[in-house]
Amino acid sequence: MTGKFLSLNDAEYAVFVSQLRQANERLNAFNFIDENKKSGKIISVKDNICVKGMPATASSKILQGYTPGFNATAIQRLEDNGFSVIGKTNMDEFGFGSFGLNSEHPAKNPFNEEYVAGGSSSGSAVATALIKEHVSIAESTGGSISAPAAFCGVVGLTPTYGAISRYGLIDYASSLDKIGFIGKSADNIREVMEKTVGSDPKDTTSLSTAISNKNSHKLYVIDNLMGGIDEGIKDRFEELLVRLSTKDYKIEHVKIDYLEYSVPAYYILSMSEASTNLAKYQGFKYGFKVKDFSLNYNDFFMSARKQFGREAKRRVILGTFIRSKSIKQKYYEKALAIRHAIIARMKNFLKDGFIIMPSMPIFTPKISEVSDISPVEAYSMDMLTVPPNLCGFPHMSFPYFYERGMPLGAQIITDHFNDYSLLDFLSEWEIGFKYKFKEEIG
Amino acid sequence: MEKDEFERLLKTARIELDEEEYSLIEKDINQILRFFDRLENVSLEDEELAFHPVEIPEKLRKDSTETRDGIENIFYNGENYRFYFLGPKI
Repeated sequence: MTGKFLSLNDAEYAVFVSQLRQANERLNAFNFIDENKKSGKIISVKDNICVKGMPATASSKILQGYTPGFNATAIQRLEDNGFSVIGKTNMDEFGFGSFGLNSEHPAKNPFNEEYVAGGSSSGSAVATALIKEHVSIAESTGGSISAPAAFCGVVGLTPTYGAISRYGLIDYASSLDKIGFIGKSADNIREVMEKTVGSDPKDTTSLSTAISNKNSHKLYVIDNLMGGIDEGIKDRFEELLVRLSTKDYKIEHVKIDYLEYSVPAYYILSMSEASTNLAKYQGFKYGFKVKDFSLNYNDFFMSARKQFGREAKRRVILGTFIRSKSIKQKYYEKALAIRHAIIARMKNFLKDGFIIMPSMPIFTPKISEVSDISPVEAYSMDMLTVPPNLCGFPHMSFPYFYERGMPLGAQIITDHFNDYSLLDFLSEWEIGFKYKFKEEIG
Repeated sequence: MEKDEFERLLKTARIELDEEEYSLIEKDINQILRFFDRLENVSLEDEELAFHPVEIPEKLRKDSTETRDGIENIFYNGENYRFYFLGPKI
């Protein structure tokens, strides 16, 4: 199946960029828009994925001024297949956030600018809602594709861990990071995914396992995950299940042990890995430069790291603590064991069906409602997106309802390397569903 | 976490906080650690540890030289002098 992408001649491109810049002043979808004319099918790329000659900041001040001289493997494969990158999209700093607010200029929801866009791939979701026939290359560690896709009314597909090379991705947590896609049609996402999957000698964790599409009409609902969900979301989700059962899907309610520990386990692992990955930002090799070479090494390093935002500092400090020898067993090894236990238990159900749940436990919040919540409250909002991310299962958020003018998303999960079955599900869903957008340019 | 332990941690992580950040982050960190302490009640003695979500086969490259990024790419962004990075004293 071939997708349909925006492709513009020189004159059209100038008009398009001008419209995009105007929209971007309101929505902050992009950190960088390329003025140079493009001959290929237009895509955008999250600002933590390297595109040769374009700034890559991961929305962090510590990377201001960094311009990679190479393409990430995923981007190189797309450019080799006729795609052109229009620009780099906004995000929570290094992927640290669920609402898009950990950015100097947070992206705003394209349905209503008082509301969050979701995070961390906030700009990718906004760009996809805004631009016709668009796919944005995004990245998820613990829900950074599903959350913004759900809040912005677009589709977010997070592939199996290792299906797509991470070479050229600015790491957050290496055992959890996955390059994925935000789009608004199954055919478009499929085309982009087919061009990017596969093993890469530059990333030893990338895999050559064939991606399948074993389909099923069985949907499992995990009852012990539904406890912390807003009652209104539960009602809409029940209506979705009724609609799916009329399309011959068989719904089964189940319980999966240990899921209540998935969020702390995820944050323990991700912070540990982040604290080592962010050690490379020392003020002389990438981005922000400390020019005072008379400082000793520690003072030089500390002075550079003042550029980290508050959430990055919090995660580096906690990750450093968790990795200390005396408490490694208490937190880190326990979290690895929980990941193993949950993978085995989820696989029991995924071998013959999908798992389905709402993407987020709340309706899209206003920016003012979540800008001051505590870190633990914010982390707890990831209760539905964390389990598939922690376990590397492919999953997809798709829009299914509009309430008071805002979209709602549901999330469907399948077994490792069965990613294309998610797109088959979406193709079937699209037959009776009409995507809505407030404005589209292109 | 006691204050002196927090101070030691900041040094290890090489993070310097201003006064406002210090009081906020110190409070947050204690809350987050209590959240992590939920794992203490879980008994998983015989469970394997999943370092990756999927099995990653061991991949070894041939023991031979190969050309990766050109030297220009490596020094593209760093302060450098005659193909040496400029950095602080150790």
